[in-house]
Amino acid sequence: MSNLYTLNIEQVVNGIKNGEFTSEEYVSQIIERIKKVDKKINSFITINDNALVQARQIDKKIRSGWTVDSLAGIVVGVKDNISTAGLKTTCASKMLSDYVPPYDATVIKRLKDKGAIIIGKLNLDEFAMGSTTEWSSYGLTRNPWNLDYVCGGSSGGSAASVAAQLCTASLGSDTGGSVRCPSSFCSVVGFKPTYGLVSRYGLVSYSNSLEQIGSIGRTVSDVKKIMEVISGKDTNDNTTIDTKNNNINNNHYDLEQNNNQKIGLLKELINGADEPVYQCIYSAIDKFNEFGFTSEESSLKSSEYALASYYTIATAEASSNLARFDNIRYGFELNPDDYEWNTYFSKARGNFGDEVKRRIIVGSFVLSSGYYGKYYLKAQRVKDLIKIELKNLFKEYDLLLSPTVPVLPFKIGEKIDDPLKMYLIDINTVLANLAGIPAISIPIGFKNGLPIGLQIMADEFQEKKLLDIAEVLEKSININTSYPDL
Amino acid sequence: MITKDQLKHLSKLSKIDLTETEFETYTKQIEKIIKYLDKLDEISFEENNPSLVLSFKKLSELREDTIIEPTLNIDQIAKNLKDKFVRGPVIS
Repeated sequence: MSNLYTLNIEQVVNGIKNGEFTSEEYVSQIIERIKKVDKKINSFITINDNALVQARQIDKKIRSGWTVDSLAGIVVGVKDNISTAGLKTTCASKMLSDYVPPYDATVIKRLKDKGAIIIGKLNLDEFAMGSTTEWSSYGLTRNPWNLDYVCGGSSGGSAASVAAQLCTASLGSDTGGSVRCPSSFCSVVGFKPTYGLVSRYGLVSYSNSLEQIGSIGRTVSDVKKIMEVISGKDTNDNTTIDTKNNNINNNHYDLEQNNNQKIGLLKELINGADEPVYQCIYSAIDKFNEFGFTSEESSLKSSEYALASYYTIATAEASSNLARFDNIRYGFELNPDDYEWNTYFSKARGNFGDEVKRRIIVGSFVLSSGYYGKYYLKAQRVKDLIKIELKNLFKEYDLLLSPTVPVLPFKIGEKIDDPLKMYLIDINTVLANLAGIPAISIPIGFKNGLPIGLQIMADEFQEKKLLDIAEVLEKSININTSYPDL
Repeated sequence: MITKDQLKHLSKLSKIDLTETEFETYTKQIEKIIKYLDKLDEISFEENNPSLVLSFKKLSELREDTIIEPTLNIDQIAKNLKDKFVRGPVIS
């Protein structure tokens, strides 16, 4: 069969189950495509050499009458800051260039238990710090829609590989928009769940009070299927909650019965967007209104302070979380003999890339004596304020809409020398991380061949409503049927 | 305002060696970042401003304190191991 790589999760699982093609045939085609296409976009850091062996095992089990698991035979790409037993996990950093984890992250274990095959590890900004995937020690990832443009970040490899059809779906991590931003720039669907829905066990910590693992797919339905498997309580991450009553995939949203959804359009975020993005958002909203949704302008005043609050908290936590990298128990080759402790530690940590060093230093600054109250405490109070304001908005609206990113994808290198300009890309996405609420980015159009994404946010643990309505909106827009020509 | 001396102190606190070129570029960039974070000064909170009563009550539940046998064999991956100890640089 030809072009198996274009199939969605349901088609792959059913195709293998019904004997239309084997798991081995599917994985072979994917690997062949990665070899052909990935040299253009550089979305993979490591390819799993055992993927074909695992595919053959699935085929063998099917031949012996096995009841097929919900994700049997699909291939999942994994952001390279999520631990995979026996498969290198570099965080796109020279600090971890040879690090092979001895265990699987909970999300990986859950995917494997349902028959998914991990096809490889995907590129990111070093330690997930960045918004374009230009800060990787393994070279930048290019936007599959236009190779001269950035693919967004930090889960750039996760979004670009899904858009380029190099895996069925992928996992990313989202600390301030790192799943949604690249999904918007690459015209795929990216979802960040409520804080506590997915276990962070095995995710290399950057800013642990903000980040969640999320999924990226070519359709909302694919993203839902991955979330269904990876969500839920995990004894290894005590911030996770029981999702027994929160099944996000058990029923479809009934448009006929629920056509009175009220949608708030966040004016500060929409008006702050560049003209083409702004126009695209409003033409999408017109289409949604045809489905019977009511939408009106709404305001989130505290959004003005969100980015300053986010970067204060994120850098503070980064400076603490990354203190563990001393290069003694694991890391690159640097013999500790004849070194004094501090000298060794500082020399080894000089191997972090520019953006990581900057964020650790800014984090040390905002936490330092005399500045703690002025920055960190204030940032935490702004975070509370945003949460209260959003909670009140959700009493009035079912969902809130905004552009995912206020600008179109831009040229590689354009913002690399100005960290602050780079940070401003996250201005719309950080809200969901500060408030701990779920948010999705879905593709809604193109301008000059460059993708535009819509962000939809819902109140905490309302993933079912959010994903079901996103699926309806996705159908009304109907653009994710074409993929980049690579 | 961040001075080069302050940055030197911060890099020492963060235990990160910086080159002269890095000091030059980072001073300007970090100053710009901190200036942006100063935006937090524009917002004032009254002393007894009701802060959010976090809805994360469930998240604070503690797990049972049970003994679990370690399942990870870190000997296979850890560097600088010697007789079950980790060898590090000299602490002066």
